[in-house]
Amino acid sequence: MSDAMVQNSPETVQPVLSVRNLKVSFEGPKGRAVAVDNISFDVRPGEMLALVGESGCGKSTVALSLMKLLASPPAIIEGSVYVKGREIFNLSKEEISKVRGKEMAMIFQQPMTSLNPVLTIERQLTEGLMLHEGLTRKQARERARENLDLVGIPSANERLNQYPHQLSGGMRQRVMIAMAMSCKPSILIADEPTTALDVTTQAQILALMSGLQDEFGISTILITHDLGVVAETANRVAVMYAGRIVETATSNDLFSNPSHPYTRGLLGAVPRLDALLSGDDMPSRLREIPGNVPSAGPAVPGCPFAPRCDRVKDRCHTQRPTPVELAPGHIVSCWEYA
Amino acid sequence: MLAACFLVGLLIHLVPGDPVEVMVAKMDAVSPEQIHAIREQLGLNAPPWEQSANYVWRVLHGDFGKTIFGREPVLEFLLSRLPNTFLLTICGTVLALAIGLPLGFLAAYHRGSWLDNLLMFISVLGVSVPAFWLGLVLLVTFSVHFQFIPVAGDGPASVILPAVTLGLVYSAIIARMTRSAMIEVLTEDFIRTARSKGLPERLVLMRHALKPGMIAVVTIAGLIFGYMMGGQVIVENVFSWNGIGRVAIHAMLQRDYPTIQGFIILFAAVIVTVSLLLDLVYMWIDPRIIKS
Repeated sequence: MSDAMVQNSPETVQPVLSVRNLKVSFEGPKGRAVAVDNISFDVRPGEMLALVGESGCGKSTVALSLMKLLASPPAIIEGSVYVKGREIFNLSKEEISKVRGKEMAMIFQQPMTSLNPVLTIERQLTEGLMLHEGLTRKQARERARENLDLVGIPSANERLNQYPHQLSGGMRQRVMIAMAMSCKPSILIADEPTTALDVTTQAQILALMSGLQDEFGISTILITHDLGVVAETANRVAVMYAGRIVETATSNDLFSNPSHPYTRGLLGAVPRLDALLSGDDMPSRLREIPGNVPSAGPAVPGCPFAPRCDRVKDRCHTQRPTPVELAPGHIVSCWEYA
Repeated sequence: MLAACFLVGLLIHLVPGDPVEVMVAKMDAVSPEQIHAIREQLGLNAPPWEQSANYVWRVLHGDFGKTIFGREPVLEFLLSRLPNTFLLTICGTVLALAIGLPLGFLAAYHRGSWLDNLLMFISVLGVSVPAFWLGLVLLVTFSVHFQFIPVAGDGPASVILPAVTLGLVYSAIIARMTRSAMIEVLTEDFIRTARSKGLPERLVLMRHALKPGMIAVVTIAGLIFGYMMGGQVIVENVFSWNGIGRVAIHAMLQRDYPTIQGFIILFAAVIVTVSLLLDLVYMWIDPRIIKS
């Protein structure tokens, strides 16, 4: 799967981030549960890659393990991650600290709980700058103020002296973004950055993120379960199911030509206004995918989607499907195409 | 507080005997008339509720009465002993925090390791060891055997052993509280955020985890402080420390009603003061409190 994907990348530019055979498992009382099963992907300079999947498919686990933020043990993390060509999984704790926040930064799902309630905004915005760029407190405060301006927070000077509880959810997520952007990292990992926010705020935050991505050429991994978010902002999409990437394509390709049965199922479950307007063979109700997402357990030998798939064949249960490139950059792991 | 004062006045009378009985037990040939006269003079012949109500009334006018044995003004008598107890309490609390905080912190950070297990085992011992036994062991070892420290007295050196006794006993509780508070804080999202910024682990712990974790610890430290200020009856007796705890126990044995009631009021006042101070500390730790 990995090799096919890498070799078939349409561009030969060195990726900012390469993930190879990442496998995350947890040792539990019922044996080893595999949360992320051997996935590989690349993020190219300046692009936004969306990692899409249902809850529990392992997308947040991917995000946290990329930053080595998963507590290990209990997690067992295998594989390698290259940031601008440098392998980071073998780095020492001190060295990985220098990558975090500087090369790779992260925005979390819960802006309410992700900021420290007892420290001022200034403290939380400046500590990264002072650490990674060796700024003095005064310089760092100035930069923090600029960063707050950048993410559209009015009266930045006052905000710096406030505490997180004095800010709304949207404001806190902006602070999180300012914090992540403060050292101008090459890679930004956004783990469901808009899930906890209301719809209007969601749109603002997404607009802000794509604006910053364009302005500073930061590569972004956007983790989400919301296909609407993907369609609006991402350049490329990787669809995850039960710890594996089942389909990768540009956003346009994915929405116009979804190829994996799971992707088709996902898109079929989204209400569409255009179908309503054109009125052609409109289904009376939304289709759902039968069955449930399997809970993390031992790795399955075949395709994890086989039990729910409407085109399942015998070998789907026994053999792991090999990735196939349907069009340049559109890769699918399904026996239907092999 | 007044209600408490009134109730205590009533409850005292549930204990059999009265000060006059204690007084005359040591004398020979006291006639029942004399006993009655003394009781009349002390106002002990009135029904308990009346005595208690009278007492509350007098306290409202700033009169705490006189001790039955010695006829000293109760308030001054108690206040003269307070500095001793205060000194012992400060030393004991500081020691308990100095030992308990780092150990609890260490145990939380290495949760599940052999170090955690060892520390928690020791803290179970610490909680279960009776203070008087620990006090006596320390006394025998350091004062009698090595003769480092005076056995008893009010001097600065003699505060060491009682303070160590209290410090050791309460550090076990503080270590356990710190451990559980820190374990909770270390699973918070903002700790992950701090790590994601690339902060070294030392900063994550000292800057991001310590302050929020201290809220629970401050509460328990405040309670311990208040409790110790109420007099360490056992420890003060073991070390003949002239504090308020000894006064209280003597007053109770002698049924010295005004002293007991005075002690209760003083104790209540100390607790109220401590909780006020605690609220101030909370405000300093947790900025969310000021808003609400």
